Amino acid sequence: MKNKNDKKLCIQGAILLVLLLVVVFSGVLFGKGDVIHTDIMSQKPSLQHIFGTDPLGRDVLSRAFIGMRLSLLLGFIAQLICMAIGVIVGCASAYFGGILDKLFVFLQNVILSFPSMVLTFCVLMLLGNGIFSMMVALCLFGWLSYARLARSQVRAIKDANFINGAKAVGSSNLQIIFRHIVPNVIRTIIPMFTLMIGHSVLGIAGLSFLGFGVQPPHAEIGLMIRDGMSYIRTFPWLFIFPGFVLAVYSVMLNVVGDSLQDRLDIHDSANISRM
Amino acid sequence: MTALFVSFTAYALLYFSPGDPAELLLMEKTGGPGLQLNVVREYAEILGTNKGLLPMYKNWLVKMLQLDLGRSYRTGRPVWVEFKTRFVTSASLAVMATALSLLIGVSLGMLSAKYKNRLFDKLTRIISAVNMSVPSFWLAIVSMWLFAMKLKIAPISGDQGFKSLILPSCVLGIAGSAGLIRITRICILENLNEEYVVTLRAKGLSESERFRKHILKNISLPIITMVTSNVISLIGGSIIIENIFGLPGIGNYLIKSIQLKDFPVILGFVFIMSLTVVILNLISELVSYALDPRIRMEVYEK
Repeated sequence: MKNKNDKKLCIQGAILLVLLLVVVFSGVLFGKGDVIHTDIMSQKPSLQHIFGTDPLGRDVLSRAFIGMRLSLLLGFIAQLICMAIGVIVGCASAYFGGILDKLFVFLQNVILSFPSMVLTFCVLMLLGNGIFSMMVALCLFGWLSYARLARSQVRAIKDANFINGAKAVGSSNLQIIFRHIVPNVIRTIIPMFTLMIGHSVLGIAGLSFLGFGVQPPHAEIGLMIRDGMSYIRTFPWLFIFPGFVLAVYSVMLNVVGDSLQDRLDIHDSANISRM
Repeated sequence: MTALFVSFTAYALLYFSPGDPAELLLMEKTGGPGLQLNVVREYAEILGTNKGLLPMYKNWLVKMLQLDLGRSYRTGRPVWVEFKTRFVTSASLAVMATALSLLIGVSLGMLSAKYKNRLFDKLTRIISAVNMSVPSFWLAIVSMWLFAMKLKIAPISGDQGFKSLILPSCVLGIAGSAGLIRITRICILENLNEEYVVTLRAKGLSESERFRKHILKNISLPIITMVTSNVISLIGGSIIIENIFGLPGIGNYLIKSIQLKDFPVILGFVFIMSLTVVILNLISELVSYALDPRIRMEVYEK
């Protein structure tokens, strides 16, 4: 049973890796496509241009992958920041307790009772449109889910023997948090990280779609779909294929994240019994 | 308390964001730049936007406590009226989408649990995994293209009453069902392994009876929690869908107001929205309280 799951995870991981490699090298692979060619405007999908070309003669397939590179990079950075903030806040709040913890719970309630889209728009209005303000808006909410998970994890292991032992030999609070607590928490955080990259890629595409995020002339999936929408009657491939590419990536990220979650859960119980 | 804090944060955020509401509004009304400074000042005086942050917020708060949300800077109509006229669209969208997602999610989840590891189950799981990660705005455009343009069985967009709500609520409903399918399936499978189900079998209850009378009650709690969070995300999250289909809903109006810094409208809407979230959470807690004796016990022990 366990071997079968491992095998599944390996296959899924390999597919994701290949997809990610394609994106990383998209500049080399597809750089030629993201150039304006006035002689091949708005062509239907064909063998040369599998996803067709847009009204400026740019290859939709190339642009989709180049756009995916930007989305993935932004999503990755945003989630990295969120994870760092979330883990630190969550650990600190659970470990020290008291006023800090109460403050955290209050903050969490406030943020959760705000329709998140609305606050995102407020932030975007405050900072103006663009990549930077979109990242700020994403991070403003993103850290919360990490913090909640980290908090619940730390609360579970806070009074474990190895923590008490570390205290007994005179480790400082910081040492305990970074040496003993974070490594234990990070295992449940990693699958979440994978899942959340998928989420934020969708979020970035959504905001760019509304015109708040990435601005033209950058290639970005949400933007491509928005531009394609104005040609909905004549050139449907302009929005169908970029969305398809986005969906493939986010499906793979979700699937791998899920499998990682299952896998690490199994190991959890095995490791504890071995210890 | 929370709602107040939220409204104040929104107020402060908007106050410090660049752009003067009086100027923006006059530009919208006259249709272009080239305004004279004293005209803008006079207009700001009328609107009361030339004071500091705290007095402005205090004014709003005092009025709000008298159940007066003020008037829109842009249209001059009371915020409450603006809200009411748009609420019907957004609310019916949310209700239809939720009902559909419940229908799809719970029934597919149950069937998939029944035929565990058979072809149907595998298919459903793949569908729900894909469904979860497909961007809903893309789904919206593709369905618009397919059903409204190619097959011509639904109106493309706009304000045609019930008919124009069908497609958007289907999209939102399908998007919301993905999580429900998963959670229903997992909960049923977990419950099937519990001792009480074995006992019921030993007692000789038929499968449908076991299911209807006992398992359904146990799985309803997580489903209610999930539906509540779905509805909450629908309150703000239908903005994109409303935008695509050109529906005259709350989200669409709110975006417009944020762009023009129409303070009373934004505040009023955000305040009502967060109040709705609080009320929804309360309802969901009350329902679980009514359903689960264990939660009742906890409350009494406190």
